[in-house]
Amino acid sequence: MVKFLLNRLAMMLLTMLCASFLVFAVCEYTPGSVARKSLGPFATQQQVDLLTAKLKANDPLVVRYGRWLGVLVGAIPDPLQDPSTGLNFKDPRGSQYFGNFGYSTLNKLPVNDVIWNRLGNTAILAGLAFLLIVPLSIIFGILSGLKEGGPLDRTLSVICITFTSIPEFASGVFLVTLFVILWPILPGTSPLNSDGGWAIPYQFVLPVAVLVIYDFGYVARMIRVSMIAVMERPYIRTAVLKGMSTRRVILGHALRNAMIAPFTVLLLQINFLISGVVVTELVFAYPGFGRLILEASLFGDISTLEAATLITVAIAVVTQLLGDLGYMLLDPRIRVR
Amino acid sequence: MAALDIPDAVQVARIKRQARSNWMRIFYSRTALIGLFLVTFWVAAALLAPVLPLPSPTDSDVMAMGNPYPSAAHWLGTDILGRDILARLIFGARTVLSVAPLSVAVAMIVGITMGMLAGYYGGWIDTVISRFSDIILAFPVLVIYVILIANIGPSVTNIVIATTIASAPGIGRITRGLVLGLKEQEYIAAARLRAENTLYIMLVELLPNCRSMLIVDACLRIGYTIITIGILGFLGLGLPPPNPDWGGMVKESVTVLNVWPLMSLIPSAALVSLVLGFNLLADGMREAWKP
Repeated sequence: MVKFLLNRLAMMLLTMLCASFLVFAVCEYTPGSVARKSLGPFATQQQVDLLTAKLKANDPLVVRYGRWLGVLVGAIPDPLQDPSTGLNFKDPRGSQYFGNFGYSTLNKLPVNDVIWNRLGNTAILAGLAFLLIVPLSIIFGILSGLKEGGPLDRTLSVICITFTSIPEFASGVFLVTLFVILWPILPGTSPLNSDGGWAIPYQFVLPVAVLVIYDFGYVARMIRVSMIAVMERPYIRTAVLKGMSTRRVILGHALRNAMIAPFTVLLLQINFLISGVVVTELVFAYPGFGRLILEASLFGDISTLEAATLITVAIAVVTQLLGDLGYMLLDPRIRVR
Repeated sequence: MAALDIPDAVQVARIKRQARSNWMRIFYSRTALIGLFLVTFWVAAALLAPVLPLPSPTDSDVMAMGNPYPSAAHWLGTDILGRDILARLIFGARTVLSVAPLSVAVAMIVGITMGMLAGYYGGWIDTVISRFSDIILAFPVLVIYVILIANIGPSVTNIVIATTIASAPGIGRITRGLVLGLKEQEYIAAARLRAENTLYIMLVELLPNCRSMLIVDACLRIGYTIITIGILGFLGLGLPPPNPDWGGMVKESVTVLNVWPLMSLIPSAALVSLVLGFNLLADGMREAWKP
């Protein structure tokens, strides 16, 4: 068990390293160097060249990646904070500490000042959506998996398929037209302050709805498949044959076993939700993590983008590990020594 | 009455025999038929776009700009620049229905190759391919698209590249699972015994047996890719103008949503209907081809 965990942790670390290197390599395509972005559009070419030389931004890719990694783990100080660059970038945490994501050229602030706040906002949004997705998809999945191909199954399946076909921006447009324009009972933007005259809880309704609409159908379909597989098992037939009531067969025998596989699916949805929040946050002007990723990649803010990717990949691999561990706890047949 | 029953029974038997041929079975599922109808509608609209009596999708009708509501000249109204929405919708279908299937086709080729190699050979080839897939699959899909397209620029080629990178690992994983199950079958052993080469075994023995799962998956992926292209357009990373692009149409008009909601509602509804078509079709095929 310990060996399994250590193995997985090493794998996680390797995945995150590779992922951050891939992002670093892709960002090299960006026209416009770090120096130009730090100095702004009004700096002379000479100033840009000088800063480029100072930051050694013309070194080979691998060398620069190594330097970025060194700054991240706190082995070397952040070159952008060096007073000799004349940029006046100051991180209150100092220039050399573990978890230093560097300086955001977009916000002109340390990445750590921006990103955690935004991540917290997104966690609230995604968490609320998740709280609704789980029970909704379980109810839909279990009900349609009870009798495969029956009228209830077909109806619920078509409903789920329809909802999964509505991407966030489309449902955003539909819901805003309905509940903001035609029947104004909800705010159309969610900036998380009350300047627009709407209390903050109201601002969560539409973004959460948009996320739930696109996501719950997919999870429900997964739970359905798992429920169908369980209902075909011999022990269910035995339970029915010995005269057990349908309700006890479902609640006592089928449900617990049907929930094992979807447990992993549900955890993997956290990764899917991060994709979803990018669009949702843009539609509703929500100050979150997804919009930060979008802004950073459009601007070419490598530090922010690297930090954001590293965090999303970390979330993905940690949920994957939790999924596997939970799977082992729930299903005694799958135990790794 | 009884005399009439006999030919009926014969006919029923013949229909049933025909239904066993896979493609015909789709027509027995109502959801698949609805999906097929939606997809066919848009494919027909896209194919017929040049011969339909439509206004130009890129020319502005200045007279319509003050009153962009549906009229005899513009059946679905005009957008903020006075361009005919119906024409932009139908020409947009051309873009989306060529880029999405093309991207998925390329991604399928790459993904199936990865899965075949990993599943058939196993060993270190499997380890390398699976680890690489794990890394890509750890990214949230949209983040891959946004990072890639924002950096290499929006174009058809780049969308194909991004789709391939984002979807091939998933396709590879499915194929690998299927191949792992199939390669222990007797007919594979028989083919090996006949000293068939590996390429023959992969393409002639294994691939056709993965067919139904992969076709369903491709159909679902076309739906997802249409959504992704729409999202990219909505984020401002879509195909460059003047190509009409559904996501881009929503983006352009969403700022005036509270004045002229139709401009955003129509392309959104079009996108949903096409994606729904592919999803229902995929579901119908899965039900019809269930082993």
